[in-house]
Amino acid sequence: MALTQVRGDGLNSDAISTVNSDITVNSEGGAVTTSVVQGLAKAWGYFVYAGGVPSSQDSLNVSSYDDNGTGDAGINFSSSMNNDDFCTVATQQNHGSALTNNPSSGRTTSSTNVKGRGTNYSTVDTEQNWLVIGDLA
Amino acid sequence: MTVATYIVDKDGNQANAASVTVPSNRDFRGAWSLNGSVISEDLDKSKEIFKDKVREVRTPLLDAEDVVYMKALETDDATAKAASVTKKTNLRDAPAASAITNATTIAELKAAWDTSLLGDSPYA
Repeated sequence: MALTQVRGDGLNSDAISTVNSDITVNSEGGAVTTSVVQGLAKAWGYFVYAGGVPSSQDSLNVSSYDDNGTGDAGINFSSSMNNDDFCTVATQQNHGSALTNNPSSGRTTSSTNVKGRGTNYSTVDTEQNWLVIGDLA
Repeated sequence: MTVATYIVDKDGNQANAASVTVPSNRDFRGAWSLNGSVISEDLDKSKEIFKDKVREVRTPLLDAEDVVYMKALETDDATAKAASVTKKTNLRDAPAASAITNATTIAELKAAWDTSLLGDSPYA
């Protein structure tokens, strides 16, 4: 994966180039280094239920959504992940007294899945914010 | 960039949401069935979903009724005990109501919600 170079004085279109994926930076305490690329979100999105189906409001690396059922949305990536062990994090609009989500099922290298849950753990249609971190192919 | 949404119906058929007509609400989303460019609600599947909703709603009502019965038992109030037993029986039988079984349209199915027993309808 390549990154756009951002210099200390901001993004300079004349200086845009790519850097290797193994770029590391010193930790805040200076004791270790950390991988910049592995810490980046590889996909994210925000969707609401509008017009009868999940409707994307904004996203990164999403080719399409699948409306699999009540509260059950599949997310298809534009660029695949390196494996299906990536991390999906999701939050939902508060539904009653519950704020739960199940992002663990239905993961492949090219897709993930989020489910909104109600107070009794049944699926509900509710807006979702989600994020994927891991390694791109 | 526009992100498309693909609807997957109860049988796994898939269609671009922008190319099909969808029901006006998602009350019976799990019963959606794709026919050409129209998605309709399968009545039999909708009845299953409806019954599941009845079971979900009646659970806390049965729990509450257990308390009512125990209080009647403690005071040996035969009338209250009988009333509680009747209510619990009706709650247990609610998914098997004939109004659900005999509904021939989605509108009739929604109207089959027994508000006197289950409270406000989620389909109102």
